[in-house]
Amino acid sequence: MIATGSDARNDVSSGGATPPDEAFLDVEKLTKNFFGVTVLDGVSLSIAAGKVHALLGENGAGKSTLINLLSGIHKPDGGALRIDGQPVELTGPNDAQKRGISTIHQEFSLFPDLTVAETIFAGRLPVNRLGLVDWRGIAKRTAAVMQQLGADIAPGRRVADLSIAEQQLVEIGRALTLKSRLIIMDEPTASLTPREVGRLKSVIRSLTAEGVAILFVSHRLEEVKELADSFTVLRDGVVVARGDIADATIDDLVRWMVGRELLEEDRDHAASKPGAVVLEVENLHSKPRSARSASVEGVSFAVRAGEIVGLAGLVGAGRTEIARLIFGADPIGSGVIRLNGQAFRPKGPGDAIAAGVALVPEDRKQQSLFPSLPISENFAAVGSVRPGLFGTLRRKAEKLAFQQFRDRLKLRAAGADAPIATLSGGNQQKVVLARWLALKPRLLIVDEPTRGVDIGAKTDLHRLLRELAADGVAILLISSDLPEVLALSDRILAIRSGHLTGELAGRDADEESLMRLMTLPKAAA
Amino acid sequence: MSIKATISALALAALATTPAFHASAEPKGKDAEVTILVSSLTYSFPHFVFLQEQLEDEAGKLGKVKILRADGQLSAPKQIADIEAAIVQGVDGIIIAPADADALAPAVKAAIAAGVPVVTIDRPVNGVPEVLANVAADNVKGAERQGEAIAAQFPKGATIINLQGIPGDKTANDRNQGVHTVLDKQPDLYKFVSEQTARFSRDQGLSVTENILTGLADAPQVIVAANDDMALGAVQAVEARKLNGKIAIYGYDGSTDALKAVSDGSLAATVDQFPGKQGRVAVKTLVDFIREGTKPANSNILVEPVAITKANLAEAERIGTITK
Amino acid sequence: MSLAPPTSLVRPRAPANAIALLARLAPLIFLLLLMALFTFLAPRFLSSLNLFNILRQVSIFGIVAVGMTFVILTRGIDLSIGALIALTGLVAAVVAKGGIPGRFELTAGGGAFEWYWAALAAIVVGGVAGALQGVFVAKLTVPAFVVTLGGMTIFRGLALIIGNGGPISGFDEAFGWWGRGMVGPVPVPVIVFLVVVVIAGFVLHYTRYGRSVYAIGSNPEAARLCGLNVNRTLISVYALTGLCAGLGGFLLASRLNSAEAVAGNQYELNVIAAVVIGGTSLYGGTGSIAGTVIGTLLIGVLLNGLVILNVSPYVQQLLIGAIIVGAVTFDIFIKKYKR
Repeated sequence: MIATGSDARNDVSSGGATPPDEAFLDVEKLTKNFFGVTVLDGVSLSIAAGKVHALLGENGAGKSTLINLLSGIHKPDGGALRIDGQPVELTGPNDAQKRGISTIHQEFSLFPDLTVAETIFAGRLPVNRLGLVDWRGIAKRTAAVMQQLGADIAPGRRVADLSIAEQQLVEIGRALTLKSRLIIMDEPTASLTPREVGRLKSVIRSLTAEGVAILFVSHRLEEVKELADSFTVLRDGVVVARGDIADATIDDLVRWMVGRELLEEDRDHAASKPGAVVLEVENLHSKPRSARSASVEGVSFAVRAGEIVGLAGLVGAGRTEIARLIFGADPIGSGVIRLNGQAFRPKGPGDAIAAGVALVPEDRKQQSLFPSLPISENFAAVGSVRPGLFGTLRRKAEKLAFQQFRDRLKLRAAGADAPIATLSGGNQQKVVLARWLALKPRLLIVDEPTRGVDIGAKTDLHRLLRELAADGVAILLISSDLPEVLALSDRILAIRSGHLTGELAGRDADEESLMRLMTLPKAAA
Repeated sequence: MSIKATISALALAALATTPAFHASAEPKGKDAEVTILVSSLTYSFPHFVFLQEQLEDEAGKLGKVKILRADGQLSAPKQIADIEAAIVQGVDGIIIAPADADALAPAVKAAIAAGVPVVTIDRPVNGVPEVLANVAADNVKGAERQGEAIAAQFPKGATIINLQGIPGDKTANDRNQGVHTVLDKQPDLYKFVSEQTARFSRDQGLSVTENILTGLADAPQVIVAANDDMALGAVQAVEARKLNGKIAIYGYDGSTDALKAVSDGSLAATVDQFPGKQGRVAVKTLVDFIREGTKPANSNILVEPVAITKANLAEAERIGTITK
Repeated sequence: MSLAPPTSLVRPRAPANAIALLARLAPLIFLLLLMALFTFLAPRFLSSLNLFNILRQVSIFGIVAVGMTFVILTRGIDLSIGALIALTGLVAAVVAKGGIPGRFELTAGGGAFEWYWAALAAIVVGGVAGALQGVFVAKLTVPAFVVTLGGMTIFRGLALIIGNGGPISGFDEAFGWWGRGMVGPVPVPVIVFLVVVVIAGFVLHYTRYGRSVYAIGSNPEAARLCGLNVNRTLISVYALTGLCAGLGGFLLASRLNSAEAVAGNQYELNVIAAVVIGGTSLYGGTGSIAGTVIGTLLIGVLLNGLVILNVSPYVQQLLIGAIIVGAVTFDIFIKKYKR
């Protein structure tokens, strides 16, 4: 049973999928304003014990605000919360935790220098009769929780040394020891490898079997379809659809989220006619560095004009490192790079840019954006518009150039002078891409181009990459999102522990064959 | 610091048993080699630089006197450390311009106990009557001379701007007190229309004077400053306002620049504390005692400060430096 | 795209805009309030004579504050400028005098040099000293706080060595004109300050170099990946501040008709306060020359107004500290409210 449109906005009891008497948490007509702008407008939903409820919506739809209201970070301007049918008012994050609601944020709130056990019991370290911290008891209980989650993480390890997936499990472990009855997970799979996603799924299933309710927030609709029991779709701060997940198709969900039909098509492999070789890499090695950073060991490949080559591998396999070597961001150990047949050994990103190479780095916040500067300055940062005499800026020409990309990329922004921080992740990424496209690169390297990007923007970005290839740009695509790699690439290179482990033609590849190359040693593949 | 203190304590214990350094050391005899530590308050003030130069000049005249310089950097701990090191080195005497009259007393006592005679200069240390001599000019007295010079030039009274030194500093307080002691006797005649700090700096002497002059309805007759730098800054401000000749400006220290200004009339007076004389007297007293065992008649040797005006310019110690 | 744009963009945002405007003008509003208060308490404060007084008094540290704006925009700090003003002032004095009487002579005959050689020497020494500090900050990645703290002591020490603890004073008229001269009713240092402000404002807001200063302060890693030469730019901002300190040292020597090693003491505090009051963030990437000018004026007004009111020197220190913290708090508060 599904309710959409004005039905969906109405109270849960009138048209909702879940009878209210089973609900752990009822949300009734929550409203939140920020400085005169309504970001949540009468949102209602209900989460039952032992069930997974999916919260869907594009970035900026109001999901984060709703999560902040439920975890006590913000206070609602209107509406009510009920736990077990009793009205409650959350006074802060601690209060929410006491009442059984734990939140695992997208950016973890862990303390990097503490151990796993200390993190799990942070703020409530149990003491023995002497008033001393009961370290042995803590270690024991931590080990028990980790076992319950099927995770093999020693209680004494430093959090900073854990992988992202392991850190997430520590957060879940903390939620369990708090005896949480509702765990809110914000984009829990965004940074996980496929295998880690599999493990998270089984953890979620075992949690629900024990009666814990999950509010699952994700852009990955296949996962939602697989895990969730019911769903709520938000758009522009209002509920546009809700119901049982079994009654909705992925296409339905996308349509409600975006508010329009999406034309997601596979790359027309027959149509692409690769031109001359643009990039040639021969036996490339990175310079040996610290033990923790990934290395590149003897990688050779080529990318032709008009071709999209996917580079698939697990996080830490050396994908990003290859891109950084070609772009001159890290020093090259040995090996040869040729651009358009000419030997190329960049001393820094400046050399690469001058040679027509562009890189959209993997971490938008850390490596791409200038958070304190307006959109226009973020766009113009690479100097795509040649300055005039004495290096004076030609702001009019820059505005004009930006205008072109703004239309082509369907950029949704109030104005070019607005702070970049006011844009959603997808629109920020469009600005970053526009920055590099304005340079008219011959080789474009995109690293995780759609991470943290909503579905509408993702479609726009995919379409743009295809158009660029059609215009003759050589594109090297790095992504953890295998469907994305498969949908876009003409050829796919698999990489594992710094070595290329195989190459597949785009039309022959599927997730399974690719996964095998990415995860198994070369001999076994 | 604590390690250093321990080491010097051990060193003192060792020295106490060495006859040559015993407290009742015999005179070394005429023409004996003498090594003296001079711990100056600081070498960033011209006053002490000049004192040091004159002191060393006198030492040269005496002959076979070696002077070790130690810059006190306005810091009592630094001076204590220098004294401790000098005792260990085995100097024959110490001349010190103390940064803090109380903090340095134990170190000075320790030196005397180790048989090293001490002369204080510029100001005494408290509670150590065993010092051979204290050679000093009193800042309060000097400022009284400054006040008397004002009273002499303006017997019918005057309106006065007072530029004070660094708030809380002892010299600044003493000089402020001296001027007030004299002029406050006749409160009807002498009126302080504005009292502000310019922190002993020429830069601030200029800007603070500018600001005060703007704030006053009528220009004052007198500007009195606690040092020459501030007074010279005030001169600049007064000239910029085209008030030169209408305001009498009083400095303090008898610096080269100030003497020049007194001679050309832009300063009415400055106060000379004769740092050079202090230096010469200090080194002579100390060397005489070390060589021949003669003690000064009075252990408190006061150098009388003098207000220097155009009339008695020749009395100024540094008058010789202004012609260059 | 057939659908209407998302609602958050078409909903009225008037209150947010008014606050944004207020946030931008916060330092100016604070300055005007302070001036109004002083005028009310002492009408003489607002005379043209006094306003030129304030301008002349702030012009030297204002020049240095302009340079410091560049440094702070890149997340740096320069504590050495007070000492550098003293050092460069002495350099200018030595050149103008052709040496120090009785100690050394620059040329065989001991002849004096024209003011422009003195000014040039001060500015060059300042620029080189600044650039050296920049090299330590950029290439050797020593924290700017440490490098310039060391620089502060080193430059002060060099100044003491050059001047032997004493002042060098008495310069010719052409030298003195730069600090004490007037063009019509306007003091010369004020004109120099204005010229520096206009040039720096142009460079910072209208050239590629200025943009890279902002970009590096906003996100150094992203700036590097945009092909900007981060090291060279970092070195240049310290060199620029050094140049400004050199110019300031020359002007101060000229204004006081004297140079000495204790000059410019604690200038760094006023200068940093002026830049921060003007809205430049110590975290880099945000700020403007106009803001720094306002911050500079605010400090000048404060020092001037409290003396005109004849407030006790002890109380003054307390008030100045409170007002500086108040101004910056006001600015931060209003910016937070904007979000």
